[in-house]
Amino acid sequence: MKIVRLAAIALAATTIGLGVASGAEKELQIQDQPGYIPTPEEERLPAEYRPQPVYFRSNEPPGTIVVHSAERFLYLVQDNSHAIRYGVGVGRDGFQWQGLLKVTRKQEWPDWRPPAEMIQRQPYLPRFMAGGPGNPLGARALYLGDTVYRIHGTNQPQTIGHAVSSGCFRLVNRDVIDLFNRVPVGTKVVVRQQAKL
Amino acid sequence: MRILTNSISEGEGLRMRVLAALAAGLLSLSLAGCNTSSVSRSGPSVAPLIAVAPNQLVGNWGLASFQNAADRERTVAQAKVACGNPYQVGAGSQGGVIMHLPDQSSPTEVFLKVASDGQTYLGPRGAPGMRQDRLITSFDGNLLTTDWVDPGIRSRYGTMVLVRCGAAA
Repeated sequence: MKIVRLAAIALAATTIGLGVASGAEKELQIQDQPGYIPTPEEERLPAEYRPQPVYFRSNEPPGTIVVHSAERFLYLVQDNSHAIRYGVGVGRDGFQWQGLLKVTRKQEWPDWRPPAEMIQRQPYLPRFMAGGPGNPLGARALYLGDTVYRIHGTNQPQTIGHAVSSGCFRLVNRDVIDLFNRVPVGTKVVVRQQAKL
Repeated sequence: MRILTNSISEGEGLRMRVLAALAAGLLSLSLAGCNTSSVSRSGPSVAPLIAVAPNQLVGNWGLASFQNAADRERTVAQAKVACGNPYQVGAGSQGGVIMHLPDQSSPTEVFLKVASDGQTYLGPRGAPGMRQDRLITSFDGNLLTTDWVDPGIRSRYGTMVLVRCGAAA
């Protein structure tokens, strides 16, 4: 925990959109859909976002999670030149960050609390939804340090590859279950938000 | 003269008794109308399995939900916490209460409805058990649990738990 350091917050708000094609043109305007249960067809991701072994140069020790927000990919380091790559949804403009944290807790079917502005729009929503299918946090959650950020599942598979969240990283449920089963509490998580010119 | 007087007096008495009976009848009809304006019952009077009066629903409630019965207790605890941002139930103008129908951002007046099997529903005017209704599964004055009748809505939100804010623990 002592090594936890959270660097720049809200970088995306000040970065200039170059490089990754998944910038502004891929922005998806979507609200949370509590209770929505996606079909298996909806959960079938485009090929590039499905979990796959890739070439990945890194000095991080095996087992480290590296998130490249700009790429919309999460890497689970296997050795110094290989990783398993997962497609993710990341924080929207103004909610991206970079830093080094550790997984401090793992939770199956995490609970969800809609943000206050969502309650204001949809006053009928429960202020607390116990975990289960249809929960916006999906099937699993990895809590990062003592922050509000998590790596979690989603009931909105169409958001993978997009910048839609409040700073969390989301995977489709099948993928987050796979990742959850591969990493223990204490796993190092590196979040990179590439500065772009 | 006296006989006439008596005769008139008896006639007036009879008229007054008839008027009184009519008034009593009208009063009882009016009271019955008040009773049935808020709780509509299907067919002849059926005793509800769970008795709820509209005025017992009016107020601020902590609102939470769960899918699995194992989560019920901690969901009730979280509903109490949710009183910091309560769900408000108002009194309706037609004897119902003001609440939301599923996925409707504006509230509307809903009514307590007792089905022939004694189940109590809360929803728009119409037969008990309509798709927009919610079935009341428990109520003790301070804790209300409901399930949406529409299976799609029910699977999305699960069992709704409402805990009266300010109730003694």
